[in-house]
Amino acid sequence: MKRNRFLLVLLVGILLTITGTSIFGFASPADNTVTAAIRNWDYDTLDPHVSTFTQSWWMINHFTDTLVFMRPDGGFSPALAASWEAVDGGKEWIFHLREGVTFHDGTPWNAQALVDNFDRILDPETNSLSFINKLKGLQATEILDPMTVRLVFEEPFAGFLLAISQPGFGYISPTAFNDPANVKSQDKLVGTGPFILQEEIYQQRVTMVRNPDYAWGPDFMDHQDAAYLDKLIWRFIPEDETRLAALQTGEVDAIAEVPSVEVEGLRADPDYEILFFEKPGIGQVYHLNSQLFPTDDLAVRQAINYAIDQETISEVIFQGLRPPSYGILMRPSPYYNWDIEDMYPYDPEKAMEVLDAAGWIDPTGGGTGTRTKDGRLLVINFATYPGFVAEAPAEMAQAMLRKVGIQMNISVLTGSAMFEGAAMIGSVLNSCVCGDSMADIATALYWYCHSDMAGIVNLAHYSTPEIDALIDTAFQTTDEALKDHALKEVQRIWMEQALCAPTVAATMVWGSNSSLTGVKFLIDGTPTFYDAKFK
Amino acid sequence: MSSYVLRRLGQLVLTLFIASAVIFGAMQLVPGDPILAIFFPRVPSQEVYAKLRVDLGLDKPFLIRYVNLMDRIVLHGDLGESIKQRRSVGTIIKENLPPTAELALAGILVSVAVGLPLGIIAAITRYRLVDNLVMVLALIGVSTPSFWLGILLILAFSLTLGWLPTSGVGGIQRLVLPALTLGLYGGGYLARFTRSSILEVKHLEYVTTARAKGLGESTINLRHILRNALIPIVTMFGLLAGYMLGGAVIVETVFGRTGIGHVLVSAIIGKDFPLVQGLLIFIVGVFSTVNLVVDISYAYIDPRVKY
Repeated sequence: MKRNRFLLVLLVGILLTITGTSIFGFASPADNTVTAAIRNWDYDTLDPHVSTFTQSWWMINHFTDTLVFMRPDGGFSPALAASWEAVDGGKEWIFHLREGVTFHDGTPWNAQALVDNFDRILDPETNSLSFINKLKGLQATEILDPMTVRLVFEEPFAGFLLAISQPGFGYISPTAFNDPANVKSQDKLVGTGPFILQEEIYQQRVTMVRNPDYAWGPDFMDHQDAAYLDKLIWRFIPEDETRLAALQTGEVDAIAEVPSVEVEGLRADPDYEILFFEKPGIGQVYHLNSQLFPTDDLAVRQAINYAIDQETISEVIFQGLRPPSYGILMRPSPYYNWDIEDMYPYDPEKAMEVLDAAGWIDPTGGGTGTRTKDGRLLVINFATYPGFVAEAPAEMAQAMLRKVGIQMNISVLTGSAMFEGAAMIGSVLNSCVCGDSMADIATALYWYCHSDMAGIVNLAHYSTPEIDALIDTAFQTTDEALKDHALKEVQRIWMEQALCAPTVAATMVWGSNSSLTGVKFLIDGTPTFYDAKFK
Repeated sequence: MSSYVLRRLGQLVLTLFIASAVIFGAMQLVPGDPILAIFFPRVPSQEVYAKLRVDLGLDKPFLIRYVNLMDRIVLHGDLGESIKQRRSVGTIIKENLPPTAELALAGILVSVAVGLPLGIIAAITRYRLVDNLVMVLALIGVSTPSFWLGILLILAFSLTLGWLPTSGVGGIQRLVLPALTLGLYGGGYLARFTRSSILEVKHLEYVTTARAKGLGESTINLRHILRNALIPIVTMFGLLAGYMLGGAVIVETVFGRTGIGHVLVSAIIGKDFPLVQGLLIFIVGVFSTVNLVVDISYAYIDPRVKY
């Protein structure tokens, strides 16, 4: 009897221990702390000089600052640089640094600190893969006075401000990173940002606390001094449903990438909010190889554009959360050319007319047989990367193309295999899907449209001196009107030649607790909690 | 005995060599340029690409790379460096092994706590309703995909009842659901195996003799039947350990737990080939070692076994 009672008490004790905290819930820590859950795939390191991945930059952007901030309208605001001048069309840049800024370890921000950061980035031992690209062509750095630096480039780099303003490409304390005893992230990676990196448990939790001395926030935010939150915690939950459940149980206050099928349910619940942001850059675009049969035929490329119904793909597959796209760039992109939107309205009849006129005959005489010309079938070999987001639209597009007599074979490949199959000279793929969200449109178009990138990322294999000259002008000129014209002209030519078939845009869909306000997205889609606070 | 152990150690080393060759070969067969894979959809500059090619040894022929890999592993215990994290694979394993070991152990405990009693009950009540019920439950446990079960448990115990957290590492509360997810499969397997093992022993002559001597049923079941029936079950632990390591890959991802499995999935998605390679070789090593320990333990558990 005594033994049974003991066992009972023991069992109850174990159950209480296991579930005890459920009495208090597993809610996100109180006291003005936000816990955000994101996936972990795009997270490599928090070192801004080294990181290559988007989600790393999301976090880095909170404990560091860039030299300049890029505003939502595409202009630039002072950040760690108070003012700047471009000399000789951008061959030299002079930055007058902001006074009164210190790194979180007390090291002053000055010209020497900036040069030390650049030296570390350029040092091969650092193995910088992305930041080093921002300094491409940097020939020399000169300290003109304690708060002024001159940068000299081999060629005019008119787009340097755009390159250097990307969130996540911030600066860290040379005192900290030069001390070999500093091994842990929080000791080595010391920034100037609105939050101080307190702890990184890799792929588990990154904790940041408010920097009370912060006073140089972006002028386009609600405030410019210390952040409202006391603490910001990042957690990594790769599984979509688990991440959503964590929001719904109160364990986290905000989550990235709400599954599209769950959005309506969250929207309808007053306890939650959906935060939606359309990104700039190149969306989910099917690049059409202009050097490989049958997509070397302009009529085929045009027919593909007429036959794909972007609106239906957007509504049916993504419930409108990925808006339709009409050109190589997405609508929020700076220098977006609105005039191209009417070039290829959804019109399967027109697609068939174009193919008929070009000699592509439907052997079934008006049915859905695959068209032929000179004995060759109209078959497109297409590749996509794995995942619902890429595969589902491809399958829908395949059905749409079938209706006009185009057969599309879909292969699901890894990203790099797709590049190899689609980008290389003599490639075997007629088309593949590839996009990249970024605010630096000149660089985006350079990668996908310039002859320098033939065999690399110019997946349409289309190069002309005219397009090269337009893109080069965009990089080299500081005349905004000229740059605007050049980039819009590239977009027009690209769609005139039907070198891609756009489908839908890339978007950010976050979910948050409705008591949390002020979560925003910067121009490139980087989330920021700088203005975030609880109601 | 010592010659047996030495022989098995030799087999272990050979297994590791063959496994490492297969894993290395498979990594080379994966389509796509591994350097472009890191940057996709962006593209590195020519200088960065060329530097990474040399750093990763990709400028050398296939066989030279394999020899270099074996030299590093065998002579220096170096499993390579993660392209993405820029840290040694050894360091990454050291950091992530404790949560995986914790999860695997908890999973094994759940398997034993669920599987053994159910298997015994099924054997004792053979062919009756209880036996059939237990076997159906065991079949469900074995057949249910762990990713589905995990999400179901989250929906039930976290979202609906609010008893346990959805994810993360730290504290026994965060271990319960992942351990249940892993353990229910192992428990189902163990239940079926225990039942068969007990039924084999139950009809042996010495049991009849014990009954004839007037011993009580519980004494016969515990001291004579179960003790002997448990010997083959020890084999299961080797397989269970392997399942727990493999199952941890899914369970850690579903429950957002750090660990070897989570890192492996992340490395596969991120095309971090050195890390994938290093982790797989490590997992093969652990699995082989566990099975070796299990084999050697027979000599101590069963006095009839002589090596």
